[in-house]
Amino acid sequence: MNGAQWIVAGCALGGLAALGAAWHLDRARGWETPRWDPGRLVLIRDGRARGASGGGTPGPDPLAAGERWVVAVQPQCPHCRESLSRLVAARARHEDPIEIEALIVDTSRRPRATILGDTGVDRVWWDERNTWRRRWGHRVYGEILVFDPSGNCVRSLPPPLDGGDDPLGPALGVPPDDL
Amino acid sequence: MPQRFVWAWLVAVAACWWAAATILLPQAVASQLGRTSPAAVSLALALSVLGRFAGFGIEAGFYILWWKMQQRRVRPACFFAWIVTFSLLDFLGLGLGRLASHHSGASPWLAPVAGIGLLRSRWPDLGAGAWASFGTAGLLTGLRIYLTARQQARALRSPLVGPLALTLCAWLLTRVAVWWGVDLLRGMSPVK
Repeated sequence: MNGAQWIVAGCALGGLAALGAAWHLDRARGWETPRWDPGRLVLIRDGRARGASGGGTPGPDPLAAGERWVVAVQPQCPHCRESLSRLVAARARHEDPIEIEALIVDTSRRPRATILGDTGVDRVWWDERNTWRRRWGHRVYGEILVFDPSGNCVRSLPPPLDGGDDPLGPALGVPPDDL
Repeated sequence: MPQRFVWAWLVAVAACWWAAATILLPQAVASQLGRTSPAAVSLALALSVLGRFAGFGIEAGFYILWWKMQQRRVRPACFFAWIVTFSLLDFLGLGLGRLASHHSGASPWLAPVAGIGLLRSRWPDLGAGAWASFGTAGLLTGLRIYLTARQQARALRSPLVGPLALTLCAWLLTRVAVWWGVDLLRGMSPVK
């Protein structure tokens, strides 16, 4: 190799080393396991209560049994709405008693109370403190997080966009510790 | 091969990749684009094929420039046409992957050829980035690397060792970059 080739190879290896360092720091960071804590979120609308909640303090959590399926939604992302609609349609097909909720993420401005009004979602929450990204380390819009009635994350699913797998299929899902 | 046939051949390969793009474009995205404008789906497919050919151009350009730094010449148009031709091995791998997705029993047999990504369900603990980068590793990818190196060696009239080492290193470095890049983009989120 001549001088120019050594420079090109050095730049490529340097860039790869920088990427590797960023990757290592990201993977080694102690991300929190997702946990459903209504106290850290803002309730924007409660579809089941048949009335828009304009207040920022959530009331008593009405989830008594079954799982809470939460879709991470960024208001500008059309795929998130698609993901939500597919999940709602799957619930209707299976007649499953699960709760489907939307978590508005990566938005510094409070969403309007009418947001996602036509999707059939049970409740809409706003992640005002950006816990989803900053503490849980999640980054893919439209993903689904499944919480048990105690608020523990039991599994998470990629966005159901490709029309292949049924999002409510029992074999799907990744336990949170294996992510 | 006469030049006019080379153009026809490139168009034929582009048609193959167009067909692949129609399959790979998620239904949800296609229906959404279709609602936006009837031409939007075709435009998206055309952009996908153009992007792929731009990638072939970058790949060919890298090897051409690398050897040019040693004052050795590889004919650009001819080498680009070869790189496009070798991409048919990737196309074949995609086809075998589709076949395996419809016949799950065939995956263990097809994986050594089409790529170890077909066995992903056996190692669910491996991250999405690792599968995205090394999932295509198999006989077809090995053959593509070998043919790319051999074409350089023929153009340079040199032994195979140097071009093969360069092609292997380039493949390995880009795969590792894809692995780390995908992991950084997804964070702790699961992806398919």
